[in-house]
Amino acid sequence: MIVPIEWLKEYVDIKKSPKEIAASFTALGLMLDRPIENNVLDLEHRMDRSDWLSIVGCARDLAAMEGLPLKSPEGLVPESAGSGGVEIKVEADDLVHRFNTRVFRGVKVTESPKWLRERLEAYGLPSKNNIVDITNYVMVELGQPMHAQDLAKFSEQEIVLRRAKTGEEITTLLGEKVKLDNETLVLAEGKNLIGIGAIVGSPATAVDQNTTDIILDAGNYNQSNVRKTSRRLNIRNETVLRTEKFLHPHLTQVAIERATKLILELAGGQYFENTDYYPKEIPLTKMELRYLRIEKVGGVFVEPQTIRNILESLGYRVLNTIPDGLKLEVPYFRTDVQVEDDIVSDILRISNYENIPLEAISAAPPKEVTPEIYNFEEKCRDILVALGMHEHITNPLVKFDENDTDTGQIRLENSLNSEQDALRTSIYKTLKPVLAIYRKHKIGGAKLFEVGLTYYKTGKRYEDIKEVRTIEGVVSTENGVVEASNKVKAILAAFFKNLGVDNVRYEKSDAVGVNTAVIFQNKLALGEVRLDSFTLFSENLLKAEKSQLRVRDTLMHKTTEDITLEVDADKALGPMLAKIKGSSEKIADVFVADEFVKGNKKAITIRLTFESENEMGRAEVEEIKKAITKP
Amino acid sequence: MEKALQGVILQFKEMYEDRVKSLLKDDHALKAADLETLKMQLLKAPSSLSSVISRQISTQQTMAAMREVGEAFNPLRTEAIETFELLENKKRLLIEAENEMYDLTLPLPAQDSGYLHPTTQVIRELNSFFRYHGYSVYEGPEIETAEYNFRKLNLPENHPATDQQESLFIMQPDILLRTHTSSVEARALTNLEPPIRLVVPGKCFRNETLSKTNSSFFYQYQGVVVDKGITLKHLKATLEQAHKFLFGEDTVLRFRYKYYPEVSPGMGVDMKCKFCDGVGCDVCKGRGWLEMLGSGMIHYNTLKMCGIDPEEYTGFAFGMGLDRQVMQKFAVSDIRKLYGGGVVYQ
Repeated sequence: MIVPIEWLKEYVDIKKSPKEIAASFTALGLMLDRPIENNVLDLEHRMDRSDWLSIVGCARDLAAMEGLPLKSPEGLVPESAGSGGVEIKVEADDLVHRFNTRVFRGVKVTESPKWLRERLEAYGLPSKNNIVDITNYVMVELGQPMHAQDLAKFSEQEIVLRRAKTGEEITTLLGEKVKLDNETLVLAEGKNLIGIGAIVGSPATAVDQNTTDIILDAGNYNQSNVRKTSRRLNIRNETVLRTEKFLHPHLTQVAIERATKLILELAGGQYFENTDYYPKEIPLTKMELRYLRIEKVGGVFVEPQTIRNILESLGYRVLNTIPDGLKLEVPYFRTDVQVEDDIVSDILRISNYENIPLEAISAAPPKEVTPEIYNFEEKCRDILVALGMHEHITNPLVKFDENDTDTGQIRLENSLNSEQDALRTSIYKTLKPVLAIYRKHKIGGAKLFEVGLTYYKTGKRYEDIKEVRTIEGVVSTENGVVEASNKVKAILAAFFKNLGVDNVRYEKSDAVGVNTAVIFQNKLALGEVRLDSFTLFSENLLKAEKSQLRVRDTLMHKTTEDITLEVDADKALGPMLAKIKGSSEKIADVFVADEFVKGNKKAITIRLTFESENEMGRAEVEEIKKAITKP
Repeated sequence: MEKALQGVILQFKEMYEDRVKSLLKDDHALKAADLETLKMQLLKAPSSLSSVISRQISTQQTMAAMREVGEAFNPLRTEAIETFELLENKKRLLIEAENEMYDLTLPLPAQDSGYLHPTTQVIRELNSFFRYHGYSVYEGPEIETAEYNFRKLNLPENHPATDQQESLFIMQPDILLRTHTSSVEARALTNLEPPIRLVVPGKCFRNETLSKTNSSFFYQYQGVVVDKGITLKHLKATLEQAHKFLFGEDTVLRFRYKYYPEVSPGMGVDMKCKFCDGVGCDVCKGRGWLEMLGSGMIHYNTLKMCGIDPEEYTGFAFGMGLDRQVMQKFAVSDIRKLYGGGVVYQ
């Protein structure tokens, strides 16, 4: 909200410097959006306080905080010269809550007086003529957008508020042609469209220097529809800024009276009552405030008299006192006040948060509820980093893959970005490209990992949507896939060793295809390994059996023995080796030491490392070997 | 025979003690000693012994005697061999230490060492503070329902913050990617019994056009406390302690009213700019203060909707965007680079 300080001072007689005034506004909840220039404050917009989009609204809070009186602008309810005679027909009654109109005849449209022009210009609105300037002035002053139109330009003396027909078009005041649809509220007279309701007018009925008779309206609309329509049509202006917020319909009356006074003063003519469409009056909210609640929430005691003074200066009306509290009527412009704590907020805010003392929590800490999986994934990160891998975080949003029909890809319905309209089903897709950046930086041999989620769905209900906690690792293949896959396997072996996950086996499976193996411990699938990468499922990894074999205080006797077996040349050896290892607890390690291919067979030399507390006899070793080589 | 055996063993022992073991304590002599020859001489002893035996007794008895001799002699021999190993190593080190074997002044490439993502590092720093103060880390789904992302947080339908165009929907209007970590707060308040003390680090998503500072996904860090007697005083003290921990004891905070739908009263927190000491500079965009986070007392309606009696319990919540903090700390200029698009670790 732009607040020219000279204008602000019309309502509150404040002696402070612009900088000090800005500091008070900051404490009240309105920070500066930009540095102060030419005695004009640019305060941020807040979603809740529609009255902070008016200078009077800002002045009211400032006056309350500074302990100064508020000088409200005067309206005028003079004798009406009669009936305006312009018919108001509201057909879209779900989109219009109130449509308050007055007719003026015999006005003289001229340039605005200097003070008016200067104030609008300080705010940032160009001056047009006295009538248009008055509607803008009252909008900025009180927060109610208004709209004046030249009745001589109407073919019918009526305004119809209805939904647009799909395909209807209108040219806005900015000269833009806009296509409308059934969700758009329009103002029409006869066959002509004369405005998009609550959003923008049309030049067709605009007030100019030849205008003498005008109709003035102040409307209250369905703010959610205004928001949607203005976004859809991409129209952002001073009107929308206000009509998309929750304004109370009562404000139309205050504003139209104020505008009436200014029009009669500055443009002359006579005023005529016209229809005030307001079928369902919205009553003012009544609420109770318990003094104790202030202490319960704010931790500070505030004197009842101070409470009363603050509330009254903010426009609350004290209806009566209740035991240890007040019964209040919430002012119409405070549409944000929903619960008692909002009134508490007002009292604490005006008293300034800086005055609330600090107090450390002294209660004993509650029970620790950090999920085991969180700590576990942290540990996994540490191990992978210790193994020389870099952690990266990549965007889980990816482009929807039309060809992917079987991973249960989740597509977003409304992404602004067609490159990011789905959720990843694997981290590999988003992590692998990072290796290219390492190559660009000429950093060789990169090994990367990410801990994050992958997503898929099996149906249309929320329960059918799955998030899978995943640890992905990728290594650079710049020196060939053999070196890469050796690295991957070495990292995994060390990773499992550090976690104490033993008896891991790698199995080929038709389900995962070539150059991929599934990682198991017993029947638990821990993940997958590929030539340049691995995927691990944290939840299963957490469930895997673990032992701590790395600390040992007895001397073990080690013996190494080789055995040679003949197998089919294309046989995947992992499961067989895992089986050999599992055949005796005295076998600590099993590796292939050598292999020799002849035709469709190959001879493999398997190196067994035996470990035991007592030195093993020859016979025992031979027995284990015999059991292994037995067909 | 017995006597001959004793004699050889004694001779072996003497030689071992005097000429070999003594070297362990005498570095000077060790450096000068010819360990090779010494070893040969000493270990020759058993073979001379066996010749003594074979000269004196019949062949039939030889095998049995040899075994006997072996049993008596082997432990000594094993010890001697181990001692020689020690001596050889020690001698090598002594000689190496005297000679410039290696140019230790040479620079060499570092061995592989991994690095945690900057965001993980900042999360851990924050966690370390809060876990010390009795907070648990809590998590919730990234794919959320409107119930937890909006309604339980006092954001009814049609509230501007629930604007469908600002959220990424999987199925409108009920299933979406969470737009803030407050959704996890709503889950925690629903699932746990007070007293509650939690922090929630996590990914959030918004339907944004991408830019240097806006990403469709970003990180937030949320804190939630619910107990009897919790007030704004506790919130202020908690945030001040946390900021001093993170940014140093000279940190100055400013507390001001600020509206957030899920809290009432709401509170904004700024830190006095350390670059200009509050005067105003480019870093703080001339304000003299940096906006750090949003916070407040958990909304009456939120507590109620999550099944906690707001007359019995009160609580506070705070939430901050992590990315700007991370980018500042690690001098990353573009959020898109931070998340996959362009940071590498040297």
